[in-house]
Amino acid sequence: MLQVLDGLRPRPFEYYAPTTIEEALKLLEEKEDAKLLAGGQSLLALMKLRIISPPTLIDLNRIDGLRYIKEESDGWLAIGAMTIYDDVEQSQVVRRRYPLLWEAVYRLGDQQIRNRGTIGGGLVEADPSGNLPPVAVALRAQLVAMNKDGRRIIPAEEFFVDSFTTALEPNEILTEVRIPPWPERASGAYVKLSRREIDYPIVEVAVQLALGDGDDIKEIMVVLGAVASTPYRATAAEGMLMGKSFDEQLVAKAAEECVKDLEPPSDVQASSWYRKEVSKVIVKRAIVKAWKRAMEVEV
Amino acid sequence: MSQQTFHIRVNVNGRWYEADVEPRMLLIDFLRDVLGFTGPHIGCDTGHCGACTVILDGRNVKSCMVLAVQVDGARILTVEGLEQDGQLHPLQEAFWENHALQCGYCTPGMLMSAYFLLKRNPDPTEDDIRKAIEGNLCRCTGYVNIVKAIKSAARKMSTRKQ
Repeated sequence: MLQVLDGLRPRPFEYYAPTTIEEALKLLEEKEDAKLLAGGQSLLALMKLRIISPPTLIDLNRIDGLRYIKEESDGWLAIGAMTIYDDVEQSQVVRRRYPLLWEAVYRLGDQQIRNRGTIGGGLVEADPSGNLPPVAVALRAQLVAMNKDGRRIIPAEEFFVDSFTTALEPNEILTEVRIPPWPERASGAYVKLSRREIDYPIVEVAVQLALGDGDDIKEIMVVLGAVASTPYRATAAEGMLMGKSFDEQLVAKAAEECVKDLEPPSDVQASSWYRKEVSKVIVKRAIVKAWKRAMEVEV
Repeated sequence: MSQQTFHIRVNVNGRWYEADVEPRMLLIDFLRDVLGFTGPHIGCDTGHCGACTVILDGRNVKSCMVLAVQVDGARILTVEGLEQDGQLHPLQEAFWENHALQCGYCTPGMLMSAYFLLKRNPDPTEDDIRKAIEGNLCRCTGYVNIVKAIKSAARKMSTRKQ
């Protein structure tokens, strides 16, 4: 057998590919410090760079029944955790009902990553710059976690506890993402600023809103990514817009308000100052886009 | 730690191969060093450049971001499998005719991403093409001739079908 080159290659690990979720949960209880392998598009990179070297990988790709997009009778949309991004992007149901999610996945990585990476993996990674965490929060999604004793539901807003850290217990596996029905006249938008499409975002904004009888806002969620260790919900901006009719100047004021308390990080993509300044623009664009979509004056 | 090995069976370009691999072996190393398919290249090794792109069960993926043990039972198409009976694939012809490569390092991956695009969308717009090759970096051509070549291949393939 050929030796694995020592260069940019993972350290040795034990590998298991269970075919049922029960088997995977059992392995997760038994094997100390095991990592779950979903799409592997981030995990394998970290292992190759030897930033992490888990002793055991439990590959979820051989488990049937974790890859689906289902509209349920009560209006919820259920997405299996091992559903690849490309399936979400190609789904007409997602595109029609949650343009925000469609847009975030359309703009995630590249085609190769969308062909392999999974919605569950993207959420559990909890990368502060990831496309999905702010979207899950804005849509008020619920995340279904299983351990050997049963399942529990974690609201997206409580799921992201720190950068790269979720509310999952070490013996739990995320199995499903559930998105609630929004009212008839609701829509959303995802706007991201990055140097190149495949770069990490400087700022990303997820907005979901619902209208009252006219063009007034009845419900709104404004959530920023890449500016804090977890998705940042701009409640002050939301409050300023509740009950108001469409007004771009008011949106600009709300966007100013939204970044007031932000202390974004400086990194290779952008300085903290620039992130904060440009966030105003991106927040405004995202709210206007979502609002116009809900009013059906823009697609 | 005891060294695990797995016996895997993989179909590459229409032929089945079997081998023993340790779990940490990457698909790109399996293709290049075990089976001798050196068409897919190792560019960046961190999942950014796309030079190692192959078709895995019908979808383009970066073979440096997949473990060999994961492809047990799968069908893989590499750049070597594009020509049929000594005839270049229309994409290869179009790359040649349009000077869509200079050093050629990115070409095997670029071709596989273009192959996936044209399977899904036989009549892509320029935007569709640029979106489809987002994950494949080229440092020579500036992409203009690559986009031209993919457009030309799409035309060739639709005329040949008629």
